[in-house]
Amino acid sequence: MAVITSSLPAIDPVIETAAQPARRRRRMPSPLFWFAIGWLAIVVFLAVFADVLPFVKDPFKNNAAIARMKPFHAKAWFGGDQNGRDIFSYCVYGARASLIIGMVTTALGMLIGGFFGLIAGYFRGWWDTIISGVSDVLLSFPALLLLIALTSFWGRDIYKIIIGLTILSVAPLSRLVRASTLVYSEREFVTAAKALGAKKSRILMREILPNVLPIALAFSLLAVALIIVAEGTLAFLGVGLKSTIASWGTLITQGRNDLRRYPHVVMMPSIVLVLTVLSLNVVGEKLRSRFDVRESAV
Amino acid sequence: MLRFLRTRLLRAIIVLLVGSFFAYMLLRILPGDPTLAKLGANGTAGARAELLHKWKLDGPFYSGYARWLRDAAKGDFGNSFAANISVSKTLKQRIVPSLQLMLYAQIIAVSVAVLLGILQAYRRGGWFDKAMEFITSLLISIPAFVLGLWLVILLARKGGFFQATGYVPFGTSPWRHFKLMLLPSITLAMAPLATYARLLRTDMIATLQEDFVLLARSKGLSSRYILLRHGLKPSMFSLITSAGLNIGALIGGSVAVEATFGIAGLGRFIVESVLSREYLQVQAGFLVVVIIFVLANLAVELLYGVLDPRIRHARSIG
Repeated sequence: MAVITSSLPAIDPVIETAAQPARRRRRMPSPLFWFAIGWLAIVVFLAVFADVLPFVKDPFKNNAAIARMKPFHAKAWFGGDQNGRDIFSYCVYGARASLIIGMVTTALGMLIGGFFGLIAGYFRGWWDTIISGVSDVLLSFPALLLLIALTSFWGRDIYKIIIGLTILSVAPLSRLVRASTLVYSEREFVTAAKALGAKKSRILMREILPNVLPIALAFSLLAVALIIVAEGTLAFLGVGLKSTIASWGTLITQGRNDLRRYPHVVMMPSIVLVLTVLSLNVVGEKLRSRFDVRESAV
Repeated sequence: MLRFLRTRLLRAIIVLLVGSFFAYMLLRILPGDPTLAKLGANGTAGARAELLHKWKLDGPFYSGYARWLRDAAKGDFGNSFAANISVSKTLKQRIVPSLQLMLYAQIIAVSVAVLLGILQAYRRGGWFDKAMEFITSLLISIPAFVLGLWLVILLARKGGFFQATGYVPFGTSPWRHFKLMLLPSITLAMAPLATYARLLRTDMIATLQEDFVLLARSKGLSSRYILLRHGLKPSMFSLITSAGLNIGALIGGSVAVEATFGIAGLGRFIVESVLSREYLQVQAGFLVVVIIFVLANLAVELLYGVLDPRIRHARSIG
């Protein structure tokens, strides 16, 4: 605490209040934001076109010539692992698995969780009590442990992992949609629609949903980031995707065996993983702060 | 206050009951025959039924659950399949390192976050604030298992100060205990640290705009005094709530950290039990995790009442 000494200049609350109107102006997105967008664009592009791009090789081919090769070499951009697999190509195919799992899970979770959240937030009463109660209980279980039990007893196919992750994402997403729905149900345009005699289904679909949707989409990016981390952690613990599918977590785990001599086998995929998660967080956070009604002054 | 206590306790008990029911039912709904793990493929039907009865997995689920819960309350979770050791005995050994790890991580996270949050809010928009904004988003984006490996690659050397693997009980040698726990605790602390610092920064900025801060300043109190005595306490609610809710996430995160640093804790206990099909250990492990989680949340809510007189007051009137 010695850093804050009494000789520091005083805190001036008046300046903060005077600066309030300035906050309404749209701040220019930071360079970090554009970096994040660029990185995500590259990752998505490579993952989609991996099969046709000439410089992306077969991730499971054992090529003795590049085995244990250090990264940043013309023959193997990210180096090679102990089995002579090209780490760059492996990372590209790993991106494919991560993106598919992240996006499908979030879409399903949003669909189911969003449905319950809308109902709980709009109709309130018993619906709300039941839905919120169930999601409270679901949230009180440590998600990762549940997932470990599920995949190790049930199987490690990609669709089973997606279903497991979806079950876990429903409760937090429904809670989020419920909170936004609550705010919008109180707004004047909903009252006006009611006064005009609009049906409940119309108010939900035409008045509330279009307003809740942007926030839900912003949070979806954050959810994809969380799911990619969860998938990686599962692989790290040995209960993730089958090893016939390229996954960042799997490569990181395999590289662990020879951490001292060949750290790049761990470093390259983990840097790719972290940059992707960081980019999703930065972009999601930016969109969220723009759309979230609870933060901006309504 | 009494009414407040009663509703919180009631909710904790409900979550505990539903959670324990989940832990029990997990094995009943999951596919696969649990007796296969113990008897192999050629066990007789009689032996199988006997085992199922012993594990409280036969008959209707409610009576099995009631029997299981009754024994669990007495601390009896049965014996492990392979080594035939009392599950609760193993559990007791495994729980200590995990609790220590979580405690150290929380202490690091909260104390560093308080310092960062205050400094960031104090000069909002300054270079320190901006740099920390980037660093916190980076820390949030590094999964625990990746951070652990990075720290091992960067810091751990054979015979060096930082050690990559192992665990020494506190009682054996406090110095070696803390030395070994340092990297794991830091690994586990980083993501919550970033979250806490952000929460505190936001709340602190709001508090510093309050009239009482202006009054304190006009009285000529020093910045340090205002920040620590007037600003900090009312800005701590989000941080405390988050720290309490985070315990569930910490248990999850500690699984990866325990696996990286070779600590025989609760998280690894559950993973190992799941992988080796030790069904009774899985049930017991899950139940313990739910109990820890519920107790932590209850503690946070009570602390809330102590910190904010408005909550105490409003509930006792309403």
